[in-house]
Amino acid sequence: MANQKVEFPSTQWFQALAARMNEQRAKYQNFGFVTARAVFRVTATAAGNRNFGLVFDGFECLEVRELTDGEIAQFDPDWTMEGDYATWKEMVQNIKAHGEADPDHTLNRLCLLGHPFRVHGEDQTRVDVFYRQLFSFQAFIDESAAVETSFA
Amino acid sequence: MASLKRLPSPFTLPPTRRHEPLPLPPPEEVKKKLYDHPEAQRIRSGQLGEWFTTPLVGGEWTEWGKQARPDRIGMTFMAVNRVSANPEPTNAPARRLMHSRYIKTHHAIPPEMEEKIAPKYGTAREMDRRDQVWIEHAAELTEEALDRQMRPARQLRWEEMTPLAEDLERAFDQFATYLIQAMFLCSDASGPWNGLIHYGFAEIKSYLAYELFDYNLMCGLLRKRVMANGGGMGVQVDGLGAGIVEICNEASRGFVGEVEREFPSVVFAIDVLFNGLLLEMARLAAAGARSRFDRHLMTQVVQDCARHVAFGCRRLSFYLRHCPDREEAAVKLHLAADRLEPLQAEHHLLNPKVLEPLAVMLGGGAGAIAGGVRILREFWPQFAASYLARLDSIGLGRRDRCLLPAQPPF
Amino acid sequence: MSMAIDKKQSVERLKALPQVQRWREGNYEPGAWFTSKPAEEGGIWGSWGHRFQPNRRGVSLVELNRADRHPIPTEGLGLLADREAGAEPDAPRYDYPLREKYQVWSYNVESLYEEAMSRQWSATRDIPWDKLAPLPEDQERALCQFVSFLHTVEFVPGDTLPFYMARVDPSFSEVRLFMSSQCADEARHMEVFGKRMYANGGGPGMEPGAEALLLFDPRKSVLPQEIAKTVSNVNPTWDFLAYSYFVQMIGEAVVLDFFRFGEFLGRNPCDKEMFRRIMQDEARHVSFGTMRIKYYLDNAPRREREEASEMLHFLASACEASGTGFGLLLQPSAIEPFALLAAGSLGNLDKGWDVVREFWATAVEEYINRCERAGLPRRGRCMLPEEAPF
Ligand SMILES: [Fe+2]
Ligand SMILES: [Fe+2]
Repeated sequence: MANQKVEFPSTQWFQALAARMNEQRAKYQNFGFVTARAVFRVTATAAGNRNFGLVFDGFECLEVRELTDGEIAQFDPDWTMEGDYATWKEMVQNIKAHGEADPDHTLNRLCLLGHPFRVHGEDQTRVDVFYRQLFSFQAFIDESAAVETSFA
Repeated sequence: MASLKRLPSPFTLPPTRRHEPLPLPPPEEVKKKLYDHPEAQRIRSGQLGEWFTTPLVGGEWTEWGKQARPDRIGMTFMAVNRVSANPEPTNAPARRLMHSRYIKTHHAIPPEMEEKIAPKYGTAREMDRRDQVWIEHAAELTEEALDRQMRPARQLRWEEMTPLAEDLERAFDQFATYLIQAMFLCSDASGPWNGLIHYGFAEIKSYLAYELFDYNLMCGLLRKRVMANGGGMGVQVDGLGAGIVEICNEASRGFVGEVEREFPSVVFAIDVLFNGLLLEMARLAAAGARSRFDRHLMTQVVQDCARHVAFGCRRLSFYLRHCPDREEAAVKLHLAADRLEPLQAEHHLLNPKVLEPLAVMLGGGAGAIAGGVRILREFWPQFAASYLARLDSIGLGRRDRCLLPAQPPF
Repeated sequence: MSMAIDKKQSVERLKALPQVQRWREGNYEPGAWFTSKPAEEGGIWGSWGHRFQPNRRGVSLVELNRADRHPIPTEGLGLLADREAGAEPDAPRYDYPLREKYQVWSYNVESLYEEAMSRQWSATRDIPWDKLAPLPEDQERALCQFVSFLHTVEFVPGDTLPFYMARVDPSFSEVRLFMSSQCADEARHMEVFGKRMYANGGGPGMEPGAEALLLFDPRKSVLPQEIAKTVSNVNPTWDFLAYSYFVQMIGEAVVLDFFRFGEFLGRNPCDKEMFRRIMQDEARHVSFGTMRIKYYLDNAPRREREEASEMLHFLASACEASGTGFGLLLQPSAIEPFALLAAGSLGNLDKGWDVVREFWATAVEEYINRCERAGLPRRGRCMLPEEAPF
């Protein structure tokens, strides 16, 4: 799998991160368990806006599926992290180059001012799950360093 | 030097007393009485007590035959509560002082004796009602608190601590000094309340013990950090506890007397408001941290504070939904907020000893502080916005009266 | 209606703050926190120039404090932050109820705290729950009764420690940190025993305190009632020294001995691991209490020391006479199941009591040794018989 390129954004790409998370139980146990329904939203791709719903439980990512805009509410995410394709691409490339996000490309940094990324949701106390379990989400996205990513 | 003004320590606590030595019986008499002790007699008779003779089912034994299985995470409170006959505390007044809800009370202990063995005030029986203590998903949050507690030996890599330019080191140290002070404040303000909560609320008591440890654990790590990287402790932030100290002291009444105390105001002040502000400050500091190590430490503060905020929100939300008089409860919390917001805005959010070091860190140096101020200005609306959104979520909307400025006053 | 005005006024007031005015004018020159010299040179900044090379143990407080050219003060500074912080010239000083080093310090508090941090564990994940196997009925019953008792007792220190933490001047942060780690430890103990009750089919047992209440006539108690009452329930109005003696030095010491025997009696890797983990924690608490009393007695001014020593001896006599802190040594819910576990089966109960007698002698001997170590000699005056009274 290591040599096979996976296109970003795609269900396969997030599944590749999930697979890496799920095979490194010890690493994720170190951070503590995760209980979150998350949507990663990539706007302004060639194919319009793309949404990926991920379900985390325990030390694993149990589910990855692509959602249409209309399906997000039904998916009932705790939080949605949203940014445009160009920023996502820059972040993924940065992670690849450094093995993990550098200081200017951490999730916290990118979300800090509400741009270029934004974390939001219907209920602030559920959005707070993003902060409560931040180490795990950062490590999850950092898994992309080991994924050969191609960009459409 | 001019003589310094001396004040009592901020949070009022009951005075302590020494035991007055009293005449004791001679050791021989004590030994004789111990020999005649009913338990010693029973042991010599070869008998075992009622715990052994009572039928396992239908007698005094609580629940024979129950078997919890570990879940996805381990042997959690959830796993135990799934099989327990008492998965949640009830509203029945506690009839014992030291007593867990998992264990049945003995039928033969008469009410007069109960009164004697379980005084209400100054003990863990003060708070024994669900609306005073309980939260939704208590088990899950407690497990999270334990699982996400900082484990420095496993998680921190001190070798990633990097020497910084003097201005950046000073800024970080000042920010850390502020955090240390803030964490001591939270620890002192909320710690003693755990002793007033009944043992029936095991999850909450554990959770609060972990929250207390979070604060102190972080204080210790921050101290180590500033004392190891070329700098040292910065300047105390005067006024940081403005409003908080008064509200908490009024709520606790110094933990003396047979009076009702106001835990919700403390939860509001410490967990919802103060930890909410700390959470935002820590997000900023994580973004401005100059080394991987510093960023890691600040990210831990983000996680910790977010968890404390979650506790506060769930606590107040449960309280408002179940307390005897919702209206009155909300009025009290609003009044506390009316007092806290302007004071915290002035002495905390706009404190130069907090904002300036952040601006230096975010700008990347004292020379670039203007860039840092720009970030702070742009970030500013989030202080009030997240706070207000949380209050909406718990049913304590304050959009019309919040006194945290929505826009940066600078 | 007035709210809108209040909001506006409030913002105006904030805008008028001197620092805000400066920032509004585009003057971001950082204040005295940035420019001032450290306190030892007359400035308001705390301290400067501390360097420590992390070693295999990271940065340990033991070594860090040793390397610090500023010694731990004998009197707290009365600040709201840790020692070596600076303060504005007009900042008030706070009189924490416990502000002298001798009142709070323990000889080994730094290393104990380091140990506490690195030995935290989880009742949920660090116990091999899957290695539990069904026990004979009498054994599971005994274990469940024993842990039902312990589950309840473990709540006690966490109820009271935070009061003492908040009384300690933050200059002695290590003491606060250690006590907070003990709160976390005790929460875990309460949890692990609560979980063990349900883990192997026994379930929670009989109300642990009930038999003592129903069986023991207070009129026949070993001590006169007014004394018995003073040592029956610890609460946060106790003097800190008395508290440390009662909870950490005698109560937890006996509990520690229970756990040591429990580990040896454990029939499977799960129970063994549980007792082993708790034993480590409890040993820290006892050590803190013991070495704290010693520090006090070694360093308090003479008069203080004499008074304290007199009070401690009184308390010790009273606790010993009532079967030690928490009445543990004659508590049916603790020692009877303990005997049955040691026996291995009901038919062997006599042998089990032999083990308990051995346990009694060990517990008393170790307690007396610890008292000696703390500078509170109890040999010859200890009210507890060296051999079990049964
Ligand atoms: Fe314990
Ligand atoms: Fe203990």
